[in-house]
Amino acid sequence: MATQGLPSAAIPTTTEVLVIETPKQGVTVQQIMAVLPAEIRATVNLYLDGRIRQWYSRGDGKGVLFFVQAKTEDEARAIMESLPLAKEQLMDHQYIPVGPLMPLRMLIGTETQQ
Amino acid sequence: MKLMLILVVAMLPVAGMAQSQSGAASSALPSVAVPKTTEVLVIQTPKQGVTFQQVMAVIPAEIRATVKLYLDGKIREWYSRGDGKGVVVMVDATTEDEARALIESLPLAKAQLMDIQYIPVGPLMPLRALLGPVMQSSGVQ
Repeated sequence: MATQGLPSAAIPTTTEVLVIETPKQGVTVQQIMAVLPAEIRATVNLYLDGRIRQWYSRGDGKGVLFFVQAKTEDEARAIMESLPLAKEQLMDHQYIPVGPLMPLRMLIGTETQQ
Repeated sequence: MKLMLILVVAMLPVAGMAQSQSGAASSALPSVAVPKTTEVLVIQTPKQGVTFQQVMAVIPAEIRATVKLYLDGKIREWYSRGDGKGVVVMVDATTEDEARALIESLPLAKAQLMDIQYIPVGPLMPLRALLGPVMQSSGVQ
């Protein structure tokens, strides 16, 4: 999908990538549980290396979220695909690169009175 | 080992399955794996056909209202998307409805220009396994 005409000034430098990870359709809890001890160890190691900045379980029970320190979606994908659950092909991943909230720039310009 | 057995029992289909609106019951996690919601992730993207100019007309008011919510502690984190498709914010809320009420008070949502997705989140529950005897048992590997 095109950026719908956003000027480049409105697009941030990517500082992190949000990763939304959900079990694939048909994957059972047993399949996930078999891999989970290794997944936890690898995930904590990535956190200790500074590659995972935040982690969450979803309140609707549908999976997990991570904020990964990466400059591109590809960089984040390489990190996530190194993890045991991904290697077992059990999970779907959605990647959203994010960065600073660019509209804040308007507050420091000469037009703050608008 | 005992904790692992508890987790295995918890994941059996009859007991304590988390709600599964999509109908994919086999992929829903057991309730022991579902956290208390502490924040709600909100992903806002312009609706199909909405122009940059339409969004920019509302942005000054949106930014002021957003910064106020941040100063009130209701917005914890905020991001622009690196692919230019909108914004992501983390809202201090314990339910999706609470987050929706907050976001829908903002100018962009009121202008009906955005598609809004809400994902309630909380602590990473699998870390609980690090506390139990299962991690002390050599049988885990």
